[in-house]
Formats: sequence, structure tokens, C-alpha cells
Amino acid sequence: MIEPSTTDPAFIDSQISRRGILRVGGLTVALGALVAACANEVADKKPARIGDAPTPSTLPEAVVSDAVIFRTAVSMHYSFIDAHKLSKQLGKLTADQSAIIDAYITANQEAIKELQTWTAKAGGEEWTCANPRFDRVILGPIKARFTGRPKQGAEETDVPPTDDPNRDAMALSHGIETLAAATHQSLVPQLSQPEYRGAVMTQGHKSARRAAALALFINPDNLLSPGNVQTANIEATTTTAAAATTTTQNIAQSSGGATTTTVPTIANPTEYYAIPSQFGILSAVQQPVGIPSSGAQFSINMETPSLNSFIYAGQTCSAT
Amino acid sequence: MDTQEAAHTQAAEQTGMDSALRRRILAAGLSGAALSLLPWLGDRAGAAAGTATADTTAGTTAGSGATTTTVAATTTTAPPQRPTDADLELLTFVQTAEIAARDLYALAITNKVYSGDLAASIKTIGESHEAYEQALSALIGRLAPNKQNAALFKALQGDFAGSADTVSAAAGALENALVATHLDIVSKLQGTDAAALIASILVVEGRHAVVMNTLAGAKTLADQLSDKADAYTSSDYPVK
Repeated sequence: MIEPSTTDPAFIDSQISRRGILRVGGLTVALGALVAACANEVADKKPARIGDAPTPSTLPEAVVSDAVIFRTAVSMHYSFIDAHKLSKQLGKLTADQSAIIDAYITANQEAIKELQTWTAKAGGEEWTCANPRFDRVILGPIKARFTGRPKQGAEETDVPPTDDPNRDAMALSHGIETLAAATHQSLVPQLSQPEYRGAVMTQGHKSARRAAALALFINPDNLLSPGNVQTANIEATTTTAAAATTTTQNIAQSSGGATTTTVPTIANPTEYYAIPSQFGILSAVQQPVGIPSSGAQFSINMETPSLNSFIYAGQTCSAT
Repeated sequence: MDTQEAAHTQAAEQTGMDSALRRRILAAGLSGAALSLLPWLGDRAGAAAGTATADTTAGTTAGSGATTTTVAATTTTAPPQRPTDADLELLTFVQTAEIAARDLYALAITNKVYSGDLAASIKTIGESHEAYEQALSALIGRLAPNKQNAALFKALQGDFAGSADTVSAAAGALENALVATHLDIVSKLQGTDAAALIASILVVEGRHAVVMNTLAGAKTLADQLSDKADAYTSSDYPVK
């Protein structure tokens, strides 16, 4: 009998090599994974459970439709009215200031009336109360900075009441109308129908106008943000104010003597301009409020509504 | 076996071994390709499952703790992002109007209607209109006319050469008419890019109007906020 040569091609092909096994194994795994990916997904409806656990409730699907956007816009206007009322309630306003804020409350009520008709047109149900998230996350903390409150959580000291409620109230109403304009602008690309976009911008430009008029009421000289004027390469007069010292401490005084403390002041007070930018901006409105500390006021970011503050279909005022 | 025969046998064996090696390399290559396709196939399977529920207006969904009932969503077609042909016609007209506005403010500056810081502010407002027309030009692309609406400029140029009060009143009316024009256009545009740009322009032009109304001597809040104006149309002011 003749032994086959190890260099014979026929012998090489018929030999089961380690590489061959690996190759066949790899192919089997690949094909198995392919078949598994194409197979129908079968979820176990009743997985094994130990102990007595309550059945988890399924969250309803939250769909962002045109009606949801209009309901959200309405809810924001209710919140804007609440904010203006807060200004009136806590701001120690003059008669002229009160008249402006009253006019703005009326304007927001008219906006609600108009937007409710668009909600119905878009197939949604009317929303008749404020935006719960905005009130909780924005208006609540702002009110606390007006009135003061005991310390919470990791805070080291109590929050003192504001030193100038009138300044903060006018700033709040200005910030609210600025936010209203940005809110409507932000909703435009989210709406599916051109006529709906026109409807929100009808309210958007009116809010922007109210913000501009209030900026001029607070300071009639503040037509344009100086940043814009400088960007436009125009010779504008720039004035620099020296920062005020907030606390005077007599270090030469003998112990036991009283330290003289002046009223806290803001080193760089926020200025409000009728035309703050060249294009409408959608960034957060930074709202300063409360007594200054180390020359600066506490500031809260007010943002345009998004997924976590939309008023979805099925959501009701009584459930919030 | 002579030397020539031995060489032939060796060559034949070599050819057989090469053929086997080629087969193995091919098999290994195919296995590798199959394995590398797995993630892609997996993604496709996942994507197919996800699109079944994507029937929202803007394609976004989120959970909300306050919702109590589930309401069937209305299925709507997502609007186009880029301007359509009809959009381009509207945008073309509004670009020429913005250039006319820029030139009207430039005329007031040239005529030295305002002075000092106020002149700088008015010039900046005029340059804002230039920024608007440039943004519109970028959106329209090579079809952008990039020229002034001569009919509009001609109709208003007389009002921009008088006293500061007259020019401010004319500028207030111009801004209000531009807001009305943009509102009319945003209610017709199909593309969301163009609608978003027009929205960002018209909120600031509303503010321009308040400033110009105030400079024109508005005494009451209602006068300051006045927005009465008719929209400019291409039939009244054709683009030539």
C-alpha cells in the first residue's frame, strides 16, 4: 500500500484543520445571528416575579402635534399673566407702571383667546390654566427671591427678601415678554402648517414690541444694545462706571466697635434694550432677581418650552 | 526521472497547493464579510421597529407624568426643510424689500437727519436690514436677485429726506409694513428653514417699529405699540 504524500493537494483538502473548524464555527455563529435578527421579537408577557410588586403603569405615548404646540403656547400665556400679577403684587409699582402691566395682562388674555381658536382648529382641546412646569421651576423660585425663604437642602443661609422689589418687578415683566416672543419664534419650525406658523408669529411680534416698550420705559436711552452698535462699526460713545464698594470695614477700629455696612449694590446692573440683538434669539432669558451678593444678583434662566413642558393631548388642568 | 520531469511534477504540486490556499482565503474572506454585516443588519432590524410608531408632526415623542389618558395621534406629513419653488418666489420679493429698507436708512444717514449716538443707532438699524437681506440671499442661493426693490425705494425715498420726526414716522411705518409682509409670507412658506429665518427677522423688526414710533413722538403706550400696516406685495412693488 502506498501512503499518500502530505504534499498531495487531495490530502490537504480532505484534512480537518483547526482553521477550518474555526471558519465553519464562525460562519455558523454569523448565520445564527442573522436569523435571530430577522426573527419576530417575542416578548415574555409574564416574566417570573418574586414577592408582591405592584404592576407598573404604562406611560401613555406623548405625541408632539400642532394641537399640543398651541395648547403649550396657551399655557405659557397663562403663566406670563401669573408673572405680571406677581410683579403687581410684590413690586410696589407706581401708577404708571401698574397701568403698563395691566395693559400687558390684557394683551396676554387676548393672545390666549386667539390661540384657543387655533388649538381647536388643530384638533386639540382647550387648555385653561398655567404651564405647571414653568410655574414650578421658574415662577416659584422667582417669587422666593422677592419674599425670601428659609434655607433648603445644601444651602448655607436663608434666602433674604429682595432689596428693591420695584427694580425686580419691572425686570421680571420685561423678561417675561422677551420670553414670550422667543417662545412663539421657537414654535415656528415645529408646526406643520404655514397658517399655524403665521398664527404664533402674530403673537410673537406683539410680545417683542411689548418687551421693547418696557425696556424704553425702564430706561429711555436704551435703544440698542451697545454690542450691536460696536459690531456695526459705528463711533458710539462708551461710558464706564466704576464698580461700587458694597461693604466698608474699619479695620483700624478697636474690637467691639460696630462695622459700618452700606446697602448692597450691583456692580454691573443688567441693562434692558429695546433692540437687544440683530435677529430674534432663542437662548435662555437670564432673569436677575433678589438682593445682590458680592455685587451680583441671583439669576434664573427662563427657557422656551420643550418636550418636558409641552401640554400633551390627554393632559388636564385638574391632573396637574 | 530526469531533471525536466521533476520540475514539472513540482510545478503541478505547487499549483494544487495554491488552489487550496486560494479557496481557504476566499472562505475566510466570506466569513469575515458575513460577520462585518451583522451590526448593519442589526441596525436595520432596530430601525424598522422604530419607524412603526413615528407618526408625529415633528418626529418627537416624550413621556409626561401628568398625562392621564392616551389619545390617538393625528398623522401628519413632516413639512420640507428647504424652500420649495413657491417659497423661493416669496423670499426673492422680500429680499428686494429688505435691500430697499437698507437703502432708505442709508439715505437718512447721508442726509444727516440724525446726529451723534442716535445717528449711530439708526445706522445700525439700517445695517440690520442688510444682515436680513444677506441671510435671505444665502437661503435663496444663486437665484437671489441681490438688488433693491426700485419701486418700493422710489415710493418712500421722499419720506426719508425730511426732518427727524418725519423720517422716524416714515421708518416706523416702513418697519410695520415689513412685519406685515413677513407675517403674510410666513403664513405661506412651506419650508421650515425659511419660516424660522423670517420669524427671527420679524420679531426684531417689531422692536424697530417701537423704537421708531417712540422717536416719532408717540405719547402713549398704544402709539408706541401701534402695528397698523398693510403688507407689501409683489403686485404693488414688482421685482424687476
